[in-house]
Amino acid sequence: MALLACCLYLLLILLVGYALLSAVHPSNRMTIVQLIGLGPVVGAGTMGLLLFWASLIGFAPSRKVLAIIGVLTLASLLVMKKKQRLARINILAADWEKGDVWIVAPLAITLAGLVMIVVVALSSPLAEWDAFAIWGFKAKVLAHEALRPIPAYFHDLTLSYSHLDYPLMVPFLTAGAYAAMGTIDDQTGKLVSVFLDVLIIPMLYLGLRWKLRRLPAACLSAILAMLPVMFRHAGVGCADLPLTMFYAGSILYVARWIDRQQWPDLILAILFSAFVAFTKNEGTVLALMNGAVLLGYGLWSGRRAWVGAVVFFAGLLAMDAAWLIWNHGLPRTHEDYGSKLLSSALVTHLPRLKEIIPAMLVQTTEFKVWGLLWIMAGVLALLGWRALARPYVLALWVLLVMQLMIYALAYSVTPWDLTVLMPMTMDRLLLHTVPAVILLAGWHWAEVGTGQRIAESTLRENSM
Amino acid sequence: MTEHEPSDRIAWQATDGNVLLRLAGYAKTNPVVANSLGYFYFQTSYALYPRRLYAAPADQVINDGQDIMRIGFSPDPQWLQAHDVRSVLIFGKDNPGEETPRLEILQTRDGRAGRQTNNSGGN
Repeated sequence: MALLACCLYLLLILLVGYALLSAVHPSNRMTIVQLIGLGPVVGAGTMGLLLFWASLIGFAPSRKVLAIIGVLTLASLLVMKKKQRLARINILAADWEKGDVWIVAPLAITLAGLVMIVVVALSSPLAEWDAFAIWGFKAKVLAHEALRPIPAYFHDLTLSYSHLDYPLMVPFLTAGAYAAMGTIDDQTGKLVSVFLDVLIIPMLYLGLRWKLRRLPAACLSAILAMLPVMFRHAGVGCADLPLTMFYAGSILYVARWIDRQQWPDLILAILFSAFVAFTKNEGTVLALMNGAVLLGYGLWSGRRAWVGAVVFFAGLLAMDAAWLIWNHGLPRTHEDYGSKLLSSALVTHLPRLKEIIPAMLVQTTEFKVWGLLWIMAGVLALLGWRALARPYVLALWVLLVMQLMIYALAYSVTPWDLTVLMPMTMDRLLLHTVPAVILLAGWHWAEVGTGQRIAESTLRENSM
Repeated sequence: MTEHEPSDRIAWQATDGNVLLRLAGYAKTNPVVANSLGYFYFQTSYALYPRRLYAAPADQVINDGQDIMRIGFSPDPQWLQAHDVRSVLIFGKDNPGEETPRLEILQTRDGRAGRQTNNSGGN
């Protein structure tokens, strides 16, 4: 029964996503992959924020709250259907091309990877330190109490280890599952974690398919699904893969806005960036970096792009303002990377980069963690170097370099012993860069020739 | 037995009220146990919630097991009563042969006090 309730909750998330996508792209066509890749991701982020806002006004996640969200979603869908604004679902974005039959192999590998992740995740309760001490604990608190009045938990320093100030996207989504189930069952609740974690694969496939043919896009997705680091971190109940998944959406739509400057792309870039900032603290930095790249491009490109950057910052602030204000007064731990990166400590600790950067480089060559991902991406970037002439590719490179820089700087100011911290956390941090690495690999591959997607004019309309 | 089972069992056995974490013997000072103490505190706090596992007053920062050892919390009976503490979870051993962690019920529903469970589990 709990499993059924949890599945219904995930279905609600999908419906919320579909309704929102239909609102952003009225009357558009959506493929099955787009529905699977985008719908749940947009739905999950929206659900997390909705539950947060409801909790802020005094309503903890409950079946009533979920029922209200469900009724409003269905009503929106009905209205959109009546006005013929619902996104229509096609099976394929484009006709089958020569050689596409081989897609069966990477598809089977991807499915095998996903099945392994799901089985391993659901066969045990929360066991990772961070999973129960931080994210699971917060989910329990949020399932029990609304954020108004503020629960005692958020000011109890004896629970400081659980990082009282951490963003609440994943805890709220888990608390929503507990509400749907009517009980706190963290083993079944892990279904939400698995659901969020595996969505990165269809999301990145979508990003790859934007420029790549079906087969190479599927091959890169299979490589992603079988990465050892995915097995290590998927389904454990932490927020790293959800952050990575939302971040994948944000950079994809930042790139699409830069390439095409269509407003729906910007709206999705804003939505995903807002979700990123509400998932982990580093997400705020990543979202601001997205904005900085949009602003840089806007100043270089022209008025429309410049206005787009302003709209991006305004939208991001509007969506995350409640969180930023509410979170402002919460106690920080001794880590508090945000303050340290904005203080003189950053300068005094710069020499530590001599230790950190080589360790990061070595980490990318760890076959047991990354397979050949980073090396393959480097080779594809060299082979498809012409892609660097495209602004959206350049923008993604800038984002990747900035992300690596900010992570290296975060290590430089950490209060922990680097020799202990880096081996424990580096694969998890570099996991956040996987969307940029995979997309860059694919978009460079598209320039090699064999991987390039057939001309847009021969495709069916596919603007999502 | 998985690492979280002692915490789950304790949460089930400490049926009412909040729980005090008390360190005994080597666990008071030996830094070797700080890591397992931290894990145990985090896991049991999670398992007990919304009930509480007290290891320090609310204004004392706990980020790891070393913090718990440094604070060495030992509240008086009034504090325990004010915070609805009904059982004491003892981590470490005062005497050889004792089990750790073990739970002592301070006050049961029918008013009896001092019952000790046979909880077992490694630290």
